[in-house]
Amino acid sequence: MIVGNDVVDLELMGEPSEGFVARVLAPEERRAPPTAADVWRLWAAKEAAFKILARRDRRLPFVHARFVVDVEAGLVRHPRGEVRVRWGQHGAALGCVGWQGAGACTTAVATAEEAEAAAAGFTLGAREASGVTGLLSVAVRLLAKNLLCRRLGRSWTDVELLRPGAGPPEVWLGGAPAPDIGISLAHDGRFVACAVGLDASARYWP
Amino acid sequence: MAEQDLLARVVNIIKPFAKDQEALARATVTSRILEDLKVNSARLVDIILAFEREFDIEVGDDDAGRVQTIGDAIEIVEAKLSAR
Repeated sequence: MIVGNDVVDLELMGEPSEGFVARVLAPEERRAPPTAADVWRLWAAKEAAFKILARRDRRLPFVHARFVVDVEAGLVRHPRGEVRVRWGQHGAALGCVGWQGAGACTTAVATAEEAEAAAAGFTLGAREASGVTGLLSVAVRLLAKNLLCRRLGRSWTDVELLRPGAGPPEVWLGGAPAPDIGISLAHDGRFVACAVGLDASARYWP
Repeated sequence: MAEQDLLARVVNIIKPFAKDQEALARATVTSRILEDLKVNSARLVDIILAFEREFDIEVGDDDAGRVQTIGDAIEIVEAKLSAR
C-alpha cells in the first residue's frame, strides 16, 4: 500500500496571495472564490497525492494545478493516476493522507515536543539518523516509529525508517526492507505528521 | 548577468523564506531549497512568484515544478533572460 501525507499549520500559513492561488489551483478548483481554509485543504491533498505518484516516477514535476481535488469524492485526479484522500484537523494542524491500494491507513499528528515525549526516551538508530537534520525531521521520525511499533507489535530497534539513495522514507523490519508497508512523513510549522499503510494481507501483524 | 550576481540575487529572494539562515549564507548551486535551506513547500511557490517579479519573467508550470536546487532556479532564470 502506498501512502502520502501532508500537514499544514493553519496559523502559520495565513492568507494565500492571488498569485499563489492562480498557480496552485486548477481552473475548476477556483470557479467559486476559495477561502484560505479551502486553499490549504486542496494544497494538502495535492502534496499528499504528489508524494504517492512521485514514488513511481522520481522525475515527475510537481505542477500543483495538474492535481485536481474532488473534495466530496475524497479523490485527487492527475494524468498519471488517481489517489484517494481524507483530511483531519487537530487544532491548527490540518492533515491530509492519500493512498493507493487496499489496506488500512493510520495517521498521527503531534507537535514536535509531543512526539518526543511520546517516544519516551527512545532515539533514532545510527542508520536512521544519518543525514537527518533539524528538530522537526527527528520528531516526525520518532512519531512514525512509535506508530509503527504499536501497529506492528514490534520493538523499537526492530523497526527502522531509512532513506536508501536519499529517496523517500522506507520501513525496514529486522534489518530488511518491508515494501508492503507504506510510510509518509510531513512537517509544517509546529506540527509533525505521519501516515502508515498496511496491505490488506497484513502479513506483518504479530 | 554573471553567475555570481545571479546567485546573490536568487539567495536574496529566498532569504525571507529560509528557516536555516546559516545554510543559506553558505549556499551553493547544489543547495536543495526545501531540504537544506528548510523552506516550506508552499513558500517555494511564493519564491517562484518572486523570481517572476524580480526578473520580469514568466516561469511555466513545468519549469517551476522541477525547481529543487538553487542551481535549478538559476538555470531557469538564465534561460528566460537569454531568450528575450
